[in-house]
Amino acid sequence: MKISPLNSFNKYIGKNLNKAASWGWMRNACEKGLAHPVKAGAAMMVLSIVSKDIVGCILYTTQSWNNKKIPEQKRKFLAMTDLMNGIIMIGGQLFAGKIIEKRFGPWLTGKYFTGRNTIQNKENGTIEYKPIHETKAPFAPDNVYQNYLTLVKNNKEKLKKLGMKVDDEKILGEIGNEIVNKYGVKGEKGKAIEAGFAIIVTSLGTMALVKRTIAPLLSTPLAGYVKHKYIDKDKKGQNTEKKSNNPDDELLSHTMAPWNQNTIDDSFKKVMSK
Amino acid sequence: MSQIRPVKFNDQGSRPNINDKNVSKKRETFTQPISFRGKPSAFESLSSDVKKLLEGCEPKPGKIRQFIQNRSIWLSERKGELQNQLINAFFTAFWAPIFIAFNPFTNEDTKTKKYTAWRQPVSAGVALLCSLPLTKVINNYLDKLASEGRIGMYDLRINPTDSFLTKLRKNTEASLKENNKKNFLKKERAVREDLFTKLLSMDPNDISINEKTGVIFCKSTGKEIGHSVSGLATNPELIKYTDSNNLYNLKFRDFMKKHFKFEFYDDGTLKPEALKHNMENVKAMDFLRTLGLFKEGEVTEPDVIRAILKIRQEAITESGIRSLFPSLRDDTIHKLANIYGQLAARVGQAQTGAKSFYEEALTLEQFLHPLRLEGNELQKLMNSTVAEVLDNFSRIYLKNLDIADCEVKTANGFMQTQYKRIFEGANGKTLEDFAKIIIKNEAKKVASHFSTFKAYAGIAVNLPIAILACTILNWAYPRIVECVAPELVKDDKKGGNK
Repeated sequence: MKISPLNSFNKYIGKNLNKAASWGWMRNACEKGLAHPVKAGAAMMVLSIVSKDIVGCILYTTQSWNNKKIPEQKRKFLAMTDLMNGIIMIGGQLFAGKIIEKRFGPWLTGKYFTGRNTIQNKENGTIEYKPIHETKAPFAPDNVYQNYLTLVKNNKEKLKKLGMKVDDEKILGEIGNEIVNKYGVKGEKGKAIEAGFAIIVTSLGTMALVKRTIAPLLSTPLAGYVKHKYIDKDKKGQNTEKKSNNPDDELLSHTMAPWNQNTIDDSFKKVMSK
Repeated sequence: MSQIRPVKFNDQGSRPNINDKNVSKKRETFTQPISFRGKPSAFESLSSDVKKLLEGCEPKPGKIRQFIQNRSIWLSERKGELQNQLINAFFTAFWAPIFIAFNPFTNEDTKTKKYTAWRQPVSAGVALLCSLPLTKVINNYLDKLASEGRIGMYDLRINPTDSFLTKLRKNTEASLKENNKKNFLKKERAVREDLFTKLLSMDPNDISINEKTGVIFCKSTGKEIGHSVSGLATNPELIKYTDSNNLYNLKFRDFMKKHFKFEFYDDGTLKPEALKHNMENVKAMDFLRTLGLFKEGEVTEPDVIRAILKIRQEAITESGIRSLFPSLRDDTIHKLANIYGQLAARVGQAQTGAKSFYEEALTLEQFLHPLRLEGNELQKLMNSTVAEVLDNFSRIYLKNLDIADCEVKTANGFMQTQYKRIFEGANGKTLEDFAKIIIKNEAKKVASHFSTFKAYAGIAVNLPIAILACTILNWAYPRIVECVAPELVKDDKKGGNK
C-alpha cells in the first residue's frame, strides 16, 4: 500500500499527542473532568483566560517599558499600569474563580435552579449534596415531585381511563421517583443547567467583575503609587522627554492616579509646550 | 445531550446488510437499550399517552429564569476553547468600554476616555479574528486524528466525533454522486421504499431526524428506525471501515485484552506473577464500572464510594455468614469473609481520608487473584448467559478455595446471592451483551477524556496566537479608530485634550 506523506505526518503527530496524553497530570485532569464536569468546565474557562492574561501582561509591560517613542516619564507609568493591571487581573480572577467554584456558584445554582448545594467534605475530600430547603428552585426534586402529584390529582379520571393505576400508591411512588430523576437535577436538562450556569456565574465573576471592572479602576492608583515609591526615587528632577507621535500616549491620561494628578499634568503641559 | 450515533451493535455481532429485508426488524432489536434491570420499570411500562400527559411535570420557570436556563443549556453543550474565547470577547467588547469611558477615578475629558475605550472592542475583534479560525481548524484536526484511532489514549474509532462524521458523510456523498451515480440512485430508491413503508405505519408526530447524522428515530422510545437516504447506512465506506476494524465483532475477551491487557487464552498470563504484571494498573474504579454498577455516564467518585460501601454493607462478616448459612464450616466462612473483606478494607482506608480514593483503590488483579481461572473454563463462559456465568464463577471460586464438595452447594447459594446484587436482573443476557455495555461506557469515558484534552490543547495553541494578536492590535488600533471615529483623533492632534 502506498503511504502518502500526509498519512505519515498524521501518524507522527498522533504518536506525539499520545505521549502528551499519557502524562500523569493530563490523565488526572481527564479523570477529574469526567467525574466533575461542572467544576471542570468553569475551571477550564478561568485557566484559558488567565493563561492569555499572563502572556498579555508580560508582553504589554515589556513593550511599554522598551517603547522609546513614548517619553520616559510616561513610558514607565504606562508599563507600571500594564503590570499592575496584569497582576490584579491574574490574581483576582484566580481568587474569584476559586471562591465561586467552592461557595458562591453552587449556592446560587442551588437557590435558583437545582435546589441543592454541593459541599466538599473536608475529611475525605469527597463532594456531597446538601438540599436547600424552602426554595423555589424549579429543578429541586421536591418541587418536581409536587408538580407530579398535583398533575396526577388534577387528571385522575383521565389517567385512569388511559390505563394508569392511579390508586396504587407503590406504583405512583415508583413513577414519581423516575419522573424526579428525569426532569429534576439528575435529568438531562438539570445537569446541563448546572454546568452552564456555573460557566455564566464564573464568567460574570471573573471576567466582568474582576478583569473588566476592578482591574482598570484599581490599577491606575496602584501604578502611580509603585512608580512614585520605587522608580522615581533615584531619578528625581530628570526630564529628558521628547515629543512623541505615538498614539499610546493617550493611554497615560486615563491611567493617572487622582492624588498625583497635578505633578503629571505639569509634566504633560511641559511636553506639549515644547 | 444524547445523540443517536450511527455506530451500533446488532445481536449477531456484525454489521447488517443494508439490502436485507429483515434489517429493519434487526435494527429495532439491537438498538433497544440493553438494561440490567431485567423487566421494564413502572414508568417505562406506561402507555405513550400517559407519558405525554406526565411531560407536564417538567419544570417551567419564570421568564427571567427561563432566559438564563436556555443560555445555560446552550453553553453546557458547547464547552471548550471556542466558547471561552467568545465569552471573553463579549465582555471585552461590550462591558469594558463602559467602565473605561465612564471611569470616575480619572479627570480626563470624555474624548480621551472614548479614544481609550475604543481599544477594547478593537482588541476583541482582533483576538477573535486570530484565534477562532485556528481553534476551529485544530479542533477538527484533533477530531479527525482521534476518530481514525491515531491517538492511542483517545481511540474514538468506536464512537467518532460529530465533526468527523459530518465531514465523512459529505465526502462520501460527493464521491458517490460523481463516480457511481446510477448505482447510488438505485440503492437510494430501494432504501427509500423500505423506509417509506415503515414510516407510513407510524404516527408522523413521533418521528424525528438527526440532521447531522441522518438517523431517523422514534421520539417517544428513542428507537432508531433507519437512516435518511444520504445518511451513513448507505455509506459503503463506513461499513467497510467498521468491518475491517472489527468494531462490530469485538468480543468480551478481545475487549479485556484491549482495555485491561488481559489475554484469556494465553496460559502464561494466567500465572499469578504475569497476571499481576498485566493488571497492576487497573484500578477498582474500572472494575466497578466493568460490573455495571453505575448508570451510564454518571460515574463519579462519590458514586463509586457509595457503591463500594453498599458492597461492604452486604459483604457480610463472618458472623453474618454464619447466621445465614449455619451448616458451613468455620474455615469456609473465614475464607469467604476474607474475600469480601478485601474490597471493604481498602475502601475503609480511603474513607478515613488517609489518601485519595484513586491512590488507594483495589486493583482488579487483587480482586481476581483468588479466582485463578483456567483458560478453557473462561472460554466456555463466553457464550453463556450471565446467570450461567454466575453459577460457574461461584463454582470455580469455591473450588479454588479448597472447600469440600458437600459444602459447595450451600456456599454456592451464598456466592450467587452476592453476585446477583452486582449483576442485578441481568438474567437472560449473554456476556456479549454485558461486554457491549462495558464498551459503551468505555467509549463514553474516552470521549469525555478527549474533550478535556482538546480544551487543554486549545489553550496551549492559543498562547502564541495571543502574542500575534497583541502585535496586530498595536498596529491596527490607531488606524481603526482613525477610520471609525476620526473626530476623536483630529481633536487630539490639535492638542485639544485640555
